[in-house]
Amino acid sequence: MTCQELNLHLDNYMRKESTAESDGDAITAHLSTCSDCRRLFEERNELERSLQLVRDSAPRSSEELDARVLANYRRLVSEPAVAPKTILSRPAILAWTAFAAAALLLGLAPIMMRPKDIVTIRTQNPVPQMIAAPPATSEPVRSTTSQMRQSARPRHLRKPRHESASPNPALAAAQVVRSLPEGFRSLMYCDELSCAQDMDMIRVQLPSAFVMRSGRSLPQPGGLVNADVLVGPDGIARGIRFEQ
Amino acid sequence: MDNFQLSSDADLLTRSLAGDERAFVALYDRLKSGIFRYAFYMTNSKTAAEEVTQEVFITLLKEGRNYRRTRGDVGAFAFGIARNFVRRIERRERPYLPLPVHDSPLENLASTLVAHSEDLSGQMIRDEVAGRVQAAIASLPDHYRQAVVLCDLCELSYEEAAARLHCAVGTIRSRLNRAHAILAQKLEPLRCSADIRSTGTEGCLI
Repeated sequence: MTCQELNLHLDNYMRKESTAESDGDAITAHLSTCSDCRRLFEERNELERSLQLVRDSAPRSSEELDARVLANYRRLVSEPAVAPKTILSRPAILAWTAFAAAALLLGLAPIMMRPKDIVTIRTQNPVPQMIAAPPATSEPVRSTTSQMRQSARPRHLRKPRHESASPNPALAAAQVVRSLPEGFRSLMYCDELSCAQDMDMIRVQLPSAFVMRSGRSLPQPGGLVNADVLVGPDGIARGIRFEQ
Repeated sequence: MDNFQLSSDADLLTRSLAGDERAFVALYDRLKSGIFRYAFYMTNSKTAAEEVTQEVFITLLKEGRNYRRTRGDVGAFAFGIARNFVRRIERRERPYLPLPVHDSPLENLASTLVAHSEDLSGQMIRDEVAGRVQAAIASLPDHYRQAVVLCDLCELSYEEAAARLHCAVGTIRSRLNRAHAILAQKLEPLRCSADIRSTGTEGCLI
């Protein structure tokens, strides 16, 4: 037996636990020849004696403890039985979580999939008839609000946040004097642009004859001409831009 | 008359929960000593050990319906509860733990005890040495301390300790071997000096 093997089996040997008789003989023989291992053995023997000292010095539990535990038992038994808690196992918790997530997705799916950015804007609005006359096709003009809002609200036209907190919108409107975006012709009669709030841009198709009547030349007379109309929240058209 | 000696711990627990006080007393007598000793060696406090023991049995009565035989015996179930309460007490008492003892007082203790051995009774020496050994055990890392407390002080077999700590028997062996080496090193100042050896075992501290 080597010193390393003895080190492995020494605890078993001292505890007399699951050590074969042959191993015990080998340990005894090794201890008689190896001084280092004999010193280790004596060291462990002393440790074992000190541990025995600790075991012997352990106090005993008091009788008061027995009485308290018994009193607790009687109290708990005399209490009405509490309904056992429903404890879900981990798979059950996972299954319920997955079910709840699926239900949530199903509930939100119609809302998320709805094409809400497509709106139908009819040209029947209170803008001047000569400008906002419906095209010959009389079909509603379709546009997307996202496109409109991106293009129809240039950054310099967007209302600052603090303006929304203004107590008097009319005063705010009077204070804001702006010019039309580039390419737009004013349709207002009193001032150039008096709308203090965000405007929407509506894409319309106008007969080319109508455009020519307004003093604009067209490369190809006849047919329809696309135009963007700026309309305020009050329904009044304030500017128009013909597509080149 | 029921013979509870033949009943298993699980049966006693079931009958205790059903209101059989004698079954509960039998179960208490079986488990009390092991839980109390474990708690005492882990906390070094009789008061804390009694607190843990009481709480373990209260919890056992409240949560006993959640016990599953397939997860181990009732002793292991109660030990798990006791271990949690011991940790709770350790966390609670941590701010009030004394500073770690320097090695030199141990050396001084040896010389002091030897010098006054005639004045001191053997019981006082043994108590003092036992206290020092307990302090050395308490300073071990937790996984070594658990192995020493269960195997050396509570005298559980390796298999029982492995079941309590949910680890392999080989792990217990290696932890115990390493813990013994550390303890022997820590207790070196208390070992008999050559002079004491010459005076015989009466002068030996350990």
